[in-house]
Amino acid sequence: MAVQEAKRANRLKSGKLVNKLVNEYWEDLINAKKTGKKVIYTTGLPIGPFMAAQDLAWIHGEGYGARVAARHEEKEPQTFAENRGFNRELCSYARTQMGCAMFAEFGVPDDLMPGPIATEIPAPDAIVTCYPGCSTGPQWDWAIERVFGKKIPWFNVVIPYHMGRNGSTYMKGEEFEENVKYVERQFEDLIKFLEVISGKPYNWDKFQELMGVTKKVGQLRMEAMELCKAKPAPASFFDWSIQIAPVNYLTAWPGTIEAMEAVKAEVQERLDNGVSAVPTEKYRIFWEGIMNWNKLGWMADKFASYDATVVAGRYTHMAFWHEPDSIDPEHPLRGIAINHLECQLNLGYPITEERMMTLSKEYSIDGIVFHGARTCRSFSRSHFLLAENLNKKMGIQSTSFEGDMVDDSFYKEELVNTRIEALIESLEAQKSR
Amino acid sequence: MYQNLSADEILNNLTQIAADPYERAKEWKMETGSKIIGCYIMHFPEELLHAAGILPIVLQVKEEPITSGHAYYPAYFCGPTRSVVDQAAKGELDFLDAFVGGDYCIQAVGGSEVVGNLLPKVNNMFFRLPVGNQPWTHGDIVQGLKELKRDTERFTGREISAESIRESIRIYNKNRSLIKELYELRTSKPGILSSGEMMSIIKSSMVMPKEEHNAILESLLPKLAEQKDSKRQDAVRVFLSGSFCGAPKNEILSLVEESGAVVVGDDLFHGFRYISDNIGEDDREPLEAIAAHYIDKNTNVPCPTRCDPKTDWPQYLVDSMRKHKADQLVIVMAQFCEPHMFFYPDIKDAMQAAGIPHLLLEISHELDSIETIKTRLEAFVEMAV
Repeated sequence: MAVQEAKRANRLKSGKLVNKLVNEYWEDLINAKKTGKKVIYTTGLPIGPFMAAQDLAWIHGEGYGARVAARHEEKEPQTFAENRGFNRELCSYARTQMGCAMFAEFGVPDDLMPGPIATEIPAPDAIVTCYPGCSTGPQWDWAIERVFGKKIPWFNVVIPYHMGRNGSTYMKGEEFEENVKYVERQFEDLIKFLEVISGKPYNWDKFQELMGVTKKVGQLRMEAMELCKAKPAPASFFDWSIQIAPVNYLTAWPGTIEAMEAVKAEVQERLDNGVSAVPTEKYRIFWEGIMNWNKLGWMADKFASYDATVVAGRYTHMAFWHEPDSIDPEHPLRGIAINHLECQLNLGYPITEERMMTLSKEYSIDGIVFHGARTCRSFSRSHFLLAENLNKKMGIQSTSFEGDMVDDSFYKEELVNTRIEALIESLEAQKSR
Repeated sequence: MYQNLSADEILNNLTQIAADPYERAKEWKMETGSKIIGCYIMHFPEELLHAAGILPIVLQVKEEPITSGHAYYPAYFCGPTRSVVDQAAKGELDFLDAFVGGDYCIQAVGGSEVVGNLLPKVNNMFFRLPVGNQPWTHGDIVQGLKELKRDTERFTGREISAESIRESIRIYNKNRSLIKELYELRTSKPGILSSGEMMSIIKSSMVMPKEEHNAILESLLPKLAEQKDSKRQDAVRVFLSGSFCGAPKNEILSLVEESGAVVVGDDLFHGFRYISDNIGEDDREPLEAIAAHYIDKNTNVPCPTRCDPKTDWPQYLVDSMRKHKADQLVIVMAQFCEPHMFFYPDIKDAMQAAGIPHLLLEISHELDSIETIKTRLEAFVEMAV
């Protein structure tokens, strides 16, 4: 029987540094209007440096939704959104942030008592969308624009879906180059838009400096994650999910280099001393799907109980400045475009499969967990194909369960337990053959 | 041959073509030896593909339950995309020589990825249609059209001339104009065409050669014009909205009419949305004209996937209700349709502000609650009697 006694995941301690930065960021944001800063709502890719260079505050919609959920305050904004008519099958990040935005615009209804985080979002002065491989993002931002009475300026950077046709694969091919130029041109227009919003010429020196920081943080994170190819792995996918802010909405925030250096140093130290993320690693798992923010600790401990380390995932390992070497801080737009075009959600199926196979080899993966986030159809769209083809081509077994990013009503806990247990049992059987 | 048939016989023929939507295309392939390209549902430049000498058809939702497709696409995706995946899994799309997907909806993107995997021998193309309405959007759409033209030329092995695109535009414009005439006729005599018949006319247009469809409509129009309106003048006038990808199920349309209502207008994809605007036939480069068409038609009948804040779909619906002197709005929303779900609260607010009663029907592909839908529709229509 695969069930072990309850064990706890050995999480990275340096995550506390990231928490400090996260708290600073939100404190700054909540007070942005008081300090005369304009507030930009963003969704999708980490484009904070575009705004930071111009001394504008920015709110990342998904980041806000995840923060609200991590504090277990998501129910009231989600209820408010549903009461207005937003169907609960809509993206739960969107429902959560829209609920919070509606608290800001319409006030808190008498029958709801939302928590403090859910009600502290400032109203936007502009909206910037930069969404890869997902039609939901721009539609969500358009809904936000309507919540605020159709009077908020909105700029939408269109990231073309990277299907990978005509021989265009990774960083080569005529079509990919055309798309890089297309995205670069839109960034140039975004900068003009931000000049208008901020009322001053764009601060290119600051932007270049911030992209230098971005490159460094991206490199440190990728290097730290690569250390986890070792067996046993010194850190897990759940650690990288917890540490996502410095390469997501906190991109280029002061202190991110130091925080990520500390993370990498701790991973290296663990490696040197034989300390692992899971006390007794027997199985190595790939997490396929978006993270479930209100289940993060629960999941980390659950896998630890089965002596399984979730060592890598498409969410963490195939996005968030995962191609830092392509960034030239002196001419940053091209590198940003490449990272965003190559982000995990934006890749056509054949490229996704090829890269997951590569990661599975590099991280010595035994099995895959497909987290079918019910309201993130962009992420779960290729799960069934991936399960079939990775089994066929590499013999990797998998399991799947439905869940969600920030709406835990989609979980059936016993089903999740049974599915994970079944995977572990089949891996055990495979290892003993 | 259609000249000798009555209006009812012609309508029956079109209904049969619509009910078995790929049969006419397969016959055409046998007759001509030419190729067929399946377009994923919604925004595709059929004119450009037609100009290549191939037959573009719009892939259709089938009403049969999804079975084989369950293995390839999760149950919490919309019925239209799951149905197309199911058809591919069952081998029902093997007659296609090519298919083209698009980026207007992530569920369609995923669906076309799965279909590409299930039909490895079928040429797999993609149409990039940038959203929004910025000064540069028109140029970006032209670029997407050029990419599709390039890929189509590689597929067929021959160049598509500007003149052939213009000719295709003329043929497709004629089809849209003829169907618009039907709409005008129905406005004055709502009883001459049921909503199911109107849907079959448009659905059949999507899956057969437009030249042939034009000839049929030219026979049908004068015959229908001679008919008397069979509907009572005091019937409740309903406007139908929604169903962007799949045609609403016949059962639903019948229920609306059996409840005592008459459908006087719609913005369905298998309805007015599909034929609302013609493409300019002026001296512009044809791809420029097609790109302009995408922006213009979205201004006239706003689409929630196009993300154009200059448009106002809720206000469009209020205006359409008034224009058609409609009493009530029935919204048909495919379950899991994100673009529609994002808009519903704004439509609800606009209807309440305008004092227009509306009914939202969220329809699952499996249609597991037909009795509930019937009761709700009857109660709703009764309110206006």
